[in-house]
Amino acid sequence: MPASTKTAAFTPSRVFGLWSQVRSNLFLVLVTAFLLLLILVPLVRLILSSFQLGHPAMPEGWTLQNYIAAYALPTFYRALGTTVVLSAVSTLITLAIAILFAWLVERTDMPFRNLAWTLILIPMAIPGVLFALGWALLLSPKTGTMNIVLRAALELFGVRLSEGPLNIYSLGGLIFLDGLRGVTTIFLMIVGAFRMMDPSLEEAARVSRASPAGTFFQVTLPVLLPAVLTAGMYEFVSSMESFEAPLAVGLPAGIFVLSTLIYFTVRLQAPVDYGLGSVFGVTYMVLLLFLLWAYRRAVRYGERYTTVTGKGYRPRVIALGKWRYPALGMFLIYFVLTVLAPFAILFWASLLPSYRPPSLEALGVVSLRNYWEIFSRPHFLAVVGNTLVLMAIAASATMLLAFFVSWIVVRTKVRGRALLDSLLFLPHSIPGIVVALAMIMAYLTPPLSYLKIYGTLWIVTMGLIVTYIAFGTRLMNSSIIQIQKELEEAAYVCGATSTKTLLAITLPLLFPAFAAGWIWVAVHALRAFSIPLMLASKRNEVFSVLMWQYWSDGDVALASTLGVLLMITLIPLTLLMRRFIVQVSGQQS
Amino acid sequence: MRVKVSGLTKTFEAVDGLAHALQGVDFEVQPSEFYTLLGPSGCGKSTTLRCIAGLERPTSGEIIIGDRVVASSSTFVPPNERPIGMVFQSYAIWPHMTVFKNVAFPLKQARPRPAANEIKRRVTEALALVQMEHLADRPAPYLSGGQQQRVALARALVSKPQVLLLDEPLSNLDAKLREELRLELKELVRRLGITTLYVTHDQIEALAMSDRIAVMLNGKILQESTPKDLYLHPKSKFVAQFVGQVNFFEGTLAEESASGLASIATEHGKLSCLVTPGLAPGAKVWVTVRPESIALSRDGNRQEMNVFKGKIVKAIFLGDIIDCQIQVGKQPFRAKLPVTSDLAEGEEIYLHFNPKACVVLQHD
Amino acid sequence: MKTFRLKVAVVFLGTIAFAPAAWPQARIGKTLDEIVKLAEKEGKVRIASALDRDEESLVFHGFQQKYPKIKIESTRITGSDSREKLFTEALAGLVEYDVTDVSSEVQEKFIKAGLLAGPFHWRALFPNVDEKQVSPSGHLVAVGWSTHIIAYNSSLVPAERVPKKWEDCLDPYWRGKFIVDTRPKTLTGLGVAWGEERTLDFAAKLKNNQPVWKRGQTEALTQVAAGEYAMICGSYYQSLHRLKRRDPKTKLTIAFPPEVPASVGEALAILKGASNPNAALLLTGWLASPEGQKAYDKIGRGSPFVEGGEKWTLMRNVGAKAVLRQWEDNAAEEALSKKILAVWGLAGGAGRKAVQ
Repeated sequence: MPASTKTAAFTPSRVFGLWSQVRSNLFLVLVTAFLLLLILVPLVRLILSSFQLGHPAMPEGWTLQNYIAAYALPTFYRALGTTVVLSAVSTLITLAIAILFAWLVERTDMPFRNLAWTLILIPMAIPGVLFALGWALLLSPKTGTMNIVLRAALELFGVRLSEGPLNIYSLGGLIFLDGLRGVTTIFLMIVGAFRMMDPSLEEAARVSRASPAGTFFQVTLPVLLPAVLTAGMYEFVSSMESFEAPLAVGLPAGIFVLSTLIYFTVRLQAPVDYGLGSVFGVTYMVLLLFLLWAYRRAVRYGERYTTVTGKGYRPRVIALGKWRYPALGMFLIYFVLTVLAPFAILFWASLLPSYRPPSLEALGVVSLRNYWEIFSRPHFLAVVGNTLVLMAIAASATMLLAFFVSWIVVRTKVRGRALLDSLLFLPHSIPGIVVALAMIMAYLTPPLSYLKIYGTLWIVTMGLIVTYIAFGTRLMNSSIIQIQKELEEAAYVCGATSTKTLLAITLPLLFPAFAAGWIWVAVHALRAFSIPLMLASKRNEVFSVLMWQYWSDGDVALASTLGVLLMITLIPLTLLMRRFIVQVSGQQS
Repeated sequence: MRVKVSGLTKTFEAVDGLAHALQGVDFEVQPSEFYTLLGPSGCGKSTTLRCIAGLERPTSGEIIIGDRVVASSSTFVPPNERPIGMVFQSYAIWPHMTVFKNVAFPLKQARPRPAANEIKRRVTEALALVQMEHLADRPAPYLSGGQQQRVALARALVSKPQVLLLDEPLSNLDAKLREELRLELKELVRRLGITTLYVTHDQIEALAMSDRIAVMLNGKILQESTPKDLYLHPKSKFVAQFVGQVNFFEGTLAEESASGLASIATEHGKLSCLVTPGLAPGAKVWVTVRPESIALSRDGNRQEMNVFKGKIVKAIFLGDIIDCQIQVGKQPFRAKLPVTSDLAEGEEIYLHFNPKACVVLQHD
Repeated sequence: MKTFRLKVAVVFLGTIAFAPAAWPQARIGKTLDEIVKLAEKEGKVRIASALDRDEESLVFHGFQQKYPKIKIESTRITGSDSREKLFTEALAGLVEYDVTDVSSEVQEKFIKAGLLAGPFHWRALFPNVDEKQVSPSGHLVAVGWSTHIIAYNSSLVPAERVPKKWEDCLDPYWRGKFIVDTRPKTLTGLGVAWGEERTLDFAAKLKNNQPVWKRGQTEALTQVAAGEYAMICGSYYQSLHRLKRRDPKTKLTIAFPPEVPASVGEALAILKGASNPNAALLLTGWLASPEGQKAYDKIGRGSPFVEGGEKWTLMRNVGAKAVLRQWEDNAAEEALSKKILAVWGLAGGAGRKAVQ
């Protein structure tokens, strides 16, 4: 039962009480223990490995050398600098776009707001690696389709170039990719604040003779600053963790960020160096934990502003006049850049036997042969199976675990529940590549090596649970709080056990939120890249990794074919999630 | 079935240290009795009820239902194993189920689980008790407040519990409906002969329904008695004030007479009042008079009555009575008068009240 | 209800924990006849190598004709990342293949960790396998050979600029237009002929000419073929061979410098715990035999030392000479590799050198 003894004295009767509680909540105790093991053991193992020489499974003694070596390495500082610059600049770009879009959607009379919502949401369906590959085809300095078009255009003005003018294989290219990709999430984070803001604040500015732009910059933005700051911190942390674009277009240009540096150190360089990789991982983690701490402070600070809470009113709508359609046009441009252009070029590539830029001449060799080819490969079907199994198990396990643990955190008075809550938020700041590295260390060595799940889909599932549990518990926490406590108590009084109550009352009541979370995790599991790349054996390969394998093998055609198939699967799923989001937040659009 | 609570305490961890919600609560409810815990919000009445339900674990103390100890320092029986039914303030009707499923839920938890037709029979029976059988298939969100209340009651009764716990079940209804359901509820539990524990902050509800009432404040029971005794013989200023309206003013006990009446010196003159035993002459006391015990006249000649002189400040016509404010010296008095009274604001007037309607309480 | 849940959990965890451990170790035949018999009973062999789909059919064709009862399940693994992954998986007890290609950097590790079956008396079982092909420890057998060359896009390189020797890569003309693999296999091969000093000097000059760093050959070659870059300084003969097979009209062209580093490109070993060890032995032995080596010539991976072989003939025509990196040289190669990485300023090499 959700009550707990509160005494320091350890009398026999208290022990009895504790035991009876453990017994009656056996299921919840097991769930909590499982999650703690899942998260803590690998992290501890990673830290241990950073003090070991040699391969983690065959250590050659304890040492500080790894740290000395890592911090003496210029590459490390370069990677760190690049990571910070990349994250900072791309966060600014993302924020600017997201704020503009949120304002347009919520506060103006822009037409087709529903369409705009959809256009913003769909990019979530595009895996980062696919997005990067699409743009690599569009913006390669010489053969990139967009560059060819640009060069032809420049030639009209008498400017002749043999390559460029743009190059995706550069820091600028990385910033472009990262900046565009974050918009959807940040938009979703701040759009609520724009909707809830008390319109009288803006009206007061307007009657004080401020122009619409002046009102926006002097009143709207400052009032919303906490929400924007919070979203900005979040995006900065996400950018710090980005791996796919830096791998696909950064590494070929010799541009390292921390995540690719780790991958390079433990996988690509010869010989690989786990000790050094662990040090990078630990450093990376500590850095992000610090950011997480700052983020949580920012959030706490943000909650003190009361102007944006409350609900019910539809804010005053600002008339855009002749700018109504150009405003909508910006959403279309965004959609073209994030979805349509990469999709189109990948679709084009999937129709060719080997890649060449679009041209009339190339039209002659267009065929659907690659699609037949791919479906005829036995490995492909296995990969599809793996991916679907992974998606279903990861989504279900993450959301169920999150549900149970959130319930403990929100509903019970068990000691240490606040700590448990913080602990579950922790993995949010641990990059996928570090989670994967830590899991490798943990499951290669006793005691977890006895589980014999290294390389299997199970370990990948666990990695994904660790990565997504923070999201799951946030969602479940807020949903459970909204469910009146008496609804559960009524079930206890009616004779139901706590487990039965959870399953028969609480879970059905928060089904919309649960379903939205499930789909969110499923979409992310479908496109998951760094964790399966590091953890799954060849036979347990998943879709996005296979795609990357084809690409790095030079088989652009097959990689593109896979990409097109993946996007076709993910887009409807994302739109389905939107329906549940609408249901959860009760928002109109 | 008997419910016995002894030495019950409950401490919560609050933001600023410990909050002592219950500080030693003792009472015993007799089989088939309608027992009410009355008090302002935060007095601990709901916490007491939740401890009896098993929704809170007492910090110390013992709770016995029937012959079974359900909570003590070494025992804690979870709510699902206690022989109780409960109606919550919000009714807690599960919105994802129909009326029928809501009511059937407790039966489905029983081991062994009753057969489907048995469940149906008993649910129908329970719904019939509250006249809701025609709405069995309606989804819960489509019920009005009163209907939800009835469904909650049916759900609490369907498994034929020994003890019924009611946590402010009428407070979310509008006034008229509340009055109707008050009578209906009392009639129903009396007919079923079920031991009932009722929690409310509404003194009228408490007085109208209960066999016995316990008035609570700050985690303690101040007074426990029948409704009539409680109203007529409150033992403290708080109880007098909380149960009904009351005028009170300070005085000094002069001397005690044989008939239980005593003479009290006040700033408005000497009074003759009922006195609680144990007060010594010279003690400072509170004198209390209910507004409905006060009569007004223009001459001031009444034998055996206490008389004050005052001035009508305000007279408000309320339909069934006139609510009158009278200034006596610096002390405001309230009086409830028949609507036929002929009064004018600003008029000088005499107040009369019977010594037996005047209760003396220890000064705090 | 509660006990039922508990039972399910126990059974579930038990299955995960003990299922893989329950595999029995298969018996390995003593003579070739016995091996053939047992192999045919096993009925299949799972091989992980760099062979792609087209190459598989070219290389395995002869074996399939000779032993039709043994099915080959072939998986392509490329690059050091997938080999490192395979190594850690084997360490964790996950054996997905019977026989695998073990590249030179990880050979030591595999043997030291006891992950390979054997050693075997290869030349006793398969008498016509060349002595040079068997590793000193007896665990590995060389089947494919790597030869390092320069590749360029003939439409981007004028005739007078066609590279003829390795030093041509240092010409400022190529600055920023040519690719160098971050895995310095070509240079460590040159080290055999040049010695460490000259090699490191060359590495430094190469870096000064601002190459485009790439890991992995296929993507790099695709980009040169597509015209994104003009040249790769140090590519594999067999990689070009593959591209030419696929697209005979490709502009990719091979240039043989005077010293052609050659090394064992594909060394096969049988994994401990393999479920089809006999079929694995048989396949490996066949691939190492002259019959199998002829098949490897079809994919450009044949030996540059066999007189009359395709590669040998080509090289003789331009006066190039193959330089062999021996089996035992792995440690020396790794040391040189680290030094080159340090010169190039890539992760790992420099940091380690500073503290050791």
